[in-house]
Amino acid sequence: MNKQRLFYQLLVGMFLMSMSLFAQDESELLGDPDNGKKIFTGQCAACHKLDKKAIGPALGGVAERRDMDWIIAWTRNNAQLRASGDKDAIAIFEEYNGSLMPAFEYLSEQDVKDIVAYTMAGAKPKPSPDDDKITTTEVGGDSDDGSIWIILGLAIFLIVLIAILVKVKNTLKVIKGDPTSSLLEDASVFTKVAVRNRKVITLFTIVVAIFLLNQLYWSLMSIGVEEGYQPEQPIAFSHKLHAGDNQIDCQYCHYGAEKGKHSNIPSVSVCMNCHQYVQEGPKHGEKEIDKIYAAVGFDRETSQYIEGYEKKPVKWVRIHNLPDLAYFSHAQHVNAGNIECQTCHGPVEEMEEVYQYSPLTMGWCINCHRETEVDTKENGYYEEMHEKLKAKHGTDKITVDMIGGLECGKCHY
Amino acid sequence: MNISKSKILGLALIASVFIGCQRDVTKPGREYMPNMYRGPQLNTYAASDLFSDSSAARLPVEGTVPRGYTPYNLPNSNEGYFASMENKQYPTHAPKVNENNLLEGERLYTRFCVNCHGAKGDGIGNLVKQEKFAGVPTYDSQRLPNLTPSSVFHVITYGKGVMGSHAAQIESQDRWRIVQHVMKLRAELDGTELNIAEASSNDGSDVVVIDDLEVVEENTEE
Repeated sequence: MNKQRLFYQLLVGMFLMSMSLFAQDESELLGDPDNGKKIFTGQCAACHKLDKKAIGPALGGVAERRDMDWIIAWTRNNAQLRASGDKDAIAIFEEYNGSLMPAFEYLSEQDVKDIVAYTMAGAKPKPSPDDDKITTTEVGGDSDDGSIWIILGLAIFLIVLIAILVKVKNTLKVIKGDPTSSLLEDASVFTKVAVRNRKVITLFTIVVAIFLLNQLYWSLMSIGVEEGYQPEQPIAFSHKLHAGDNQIDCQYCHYGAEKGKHSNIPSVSVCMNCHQYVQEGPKHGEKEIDKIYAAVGFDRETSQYIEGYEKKPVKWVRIHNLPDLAYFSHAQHVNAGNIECQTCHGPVEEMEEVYQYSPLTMGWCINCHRETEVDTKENGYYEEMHEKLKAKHGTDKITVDMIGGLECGKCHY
Repeated sequence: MNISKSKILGLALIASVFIGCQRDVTKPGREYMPNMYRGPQLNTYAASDLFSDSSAARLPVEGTVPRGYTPYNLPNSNEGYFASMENKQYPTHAPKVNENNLLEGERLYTRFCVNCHGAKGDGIGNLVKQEKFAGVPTYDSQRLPNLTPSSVFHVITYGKGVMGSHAAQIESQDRWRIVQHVMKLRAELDGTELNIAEASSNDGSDVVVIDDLEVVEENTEE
């Protein structure tokens, strides 16, 4: 170790001491917290947090509790340390139910010191809760109801325009020497004339009748069609966050889509694959994630599952309901059809709350079967049949309806 | 005055037609003949009073196995993990290492693993980049010197640390395909290439099986 490095470490140590109220023994802080942070987030953070227990113990301020040599020995090869009969090492191993920590023999002593320096420094600055609140409201507030403001602005603009025109009219009348009239008077004169005019009345009646019949038609047509259905879910799960921002594959959670008729609703154990670690959301904080923990029996404080906990199912509300008289298989559409999830479910990765994107009517199914081309490439087994079909229909394009996509019995039996 | 009153009435009527037709999207719409739509049988994931946990979705009957099921007899414990590291080759029942299986493994890896472990297997996935996850190890032989195909399979099956069990999501044979891709990434991180011929020449002769340990059932939760 040359002098320059020692000098640098001393500098860092002094800097830390000046920052830290819990000033440590100088010799223990001879590390570079920046390098320590890099190693910590890369190698340690999966199992260790600074301020609370995770898979392993909290590491914030670890040098206050343990001897530096012990930390180095433990980090580089804890199995060896335990085998040597070190009581502390065995005790901590037992305390965490024998969770195995891998050996980090490739980390040098200096690396470990850097990590410790980071845990001493990194434990200190914590964002105040007020800061969190500001950011969360910003995230939550900005939604796309801009269209309402555009309409309102237009309405105000038109009202002002009318007022100006009336003013102009009256000014002209004053110049001409005629008596002026207000906007309301003008309007009542107009209606009086209109009511006496049979053509206007007839036209008005026809327009109203068409409008009402149109409404009636569409309200009847919407029976059994639940397009746009957006029920409130028990957990404010955001597909936009998970599938959009985090880019998690749809089928990471809905892994049944290519296996069977149903695309499964993920069980809570799938949530826990990530949320054992991610214990706070960007928008709702701990509130919504706590609902997962309540369902499965996970203790946020100790990061452990509660033994003998009576698990409760999460009562998700099903959005896409096909009537029992229609058969639909996800596997067929995902595997053979190679249809993207978004084709039917819409841009789910942009939906904060999921709604039914497609009408799911029979007409909608049939239409897609008529338009969707069958991928005949590298499908040698059916080559002859494909050729025959092409010849029969006189086209180069084989669509789903040509291979039986319109047969009643395919979906109704 | 009469006219303006009737005008107001007319406007109110039109407005009520508009407002009345605004659908409440949090409620399902109306149905015609609901008996045709919903039979008396229990639908997938429906609530049901028949069972004590009020869920119609049931676990398979105890002791039954799904078709194509391969038992995995290393337990979810430190001993099981160490034993899996002793198995240097793929077991004979695992899919052979070849181009097709590697491709399928890559496809599944991209679905189930890539978010944390990264496309290159260097532990820098999208979630790590966004600082939502940390501490994901790279697959290289410096960080994980004792990694074997079986130990990768073991970890996918049972999870390790904050990584949860993926046995419910990925079928056993598919897990082996992912293992193949992981070993390929490991070779690439080490600066070598996966030797397909060598990797596929397994006779299962060195497979360690723990018989005297209690066999833990795979997580069959659906």
